[in-house]
Amino acid sequence: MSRAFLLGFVRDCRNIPMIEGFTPRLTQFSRYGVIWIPSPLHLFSGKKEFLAFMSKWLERVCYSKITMLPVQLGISADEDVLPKIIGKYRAELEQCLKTIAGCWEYDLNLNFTKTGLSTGGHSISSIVARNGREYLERMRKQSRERETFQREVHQRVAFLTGHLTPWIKDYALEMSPSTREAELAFLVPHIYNGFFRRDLQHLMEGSKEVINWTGPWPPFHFSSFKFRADGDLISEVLAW
Amino acid sequence: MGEITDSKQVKLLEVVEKLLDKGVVISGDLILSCANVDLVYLDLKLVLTSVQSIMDGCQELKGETV
Repeated sequence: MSRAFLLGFVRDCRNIPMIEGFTPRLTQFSRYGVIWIPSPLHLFSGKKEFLAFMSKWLERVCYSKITMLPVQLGISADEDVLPKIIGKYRAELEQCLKTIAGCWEYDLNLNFTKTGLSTGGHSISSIVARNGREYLERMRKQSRERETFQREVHQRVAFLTGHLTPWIKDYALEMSPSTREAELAFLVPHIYNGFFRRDLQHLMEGSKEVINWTGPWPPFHFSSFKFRADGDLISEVLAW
Repeated sequence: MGEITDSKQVKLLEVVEKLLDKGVVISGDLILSCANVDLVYLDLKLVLTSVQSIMDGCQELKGETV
């Protein structure tokens, strides 16, 4: 019995993309399928090589326009129980695959270090306070700076989403006040891809903060369903 | 595959690694038993990355008590 390292779920899919040296397999049950590979620890010499292959393969998945619900790195199951897992999560899979059908994800990294306040919370907390009053004052200052940063991010995100609204289906935001960075993920239907990229390029040219973007990707930030912890799933730590 | 030295490629691999951490996750409670004491972790996602070190710690603890 072999161990399957899960990559993603698909629906009504017969052929999955492959690249030389990376040939994922498909196990199906009813209309649904799970894409998997044997443990990467046995296939690749290191994490860098594994990620390079994954990067190429994800690119192929996107351009084949297959809707794939990606699975977080490090979840395995015995090959024999894969149909059972698909059957158990059929309702959740249906719902999630319906939400992301026909969409790609684009990710923006917004860097606010050159805008607003120059001191991040991290530098303040790293200094040892001499007394309680000083400690509380620093905490207040840190809290104010965090709130200012969050306001700044929300304003910028509202501006970006407002201008990109016709072309996006959803977005997800993560903020890091200590580094004054925010990650913004957009769920973009294939049919609007050209319009989205054109308008994003235009917005980047007129932006005061640094924006880096990558994509298209399978919709990693919009895979909202979660496996329930049970004996069929195994966590696999990738340590070469 | 050749050696990856281009900085853009390295950056891309970092993005891919971060993305791969965002997919469908396991949720729910996990109970690990360590030296007959149940340790309950509410956030299994956190445990996934450190489960090996916890198990190593359990082995060390058992070694000390024998």
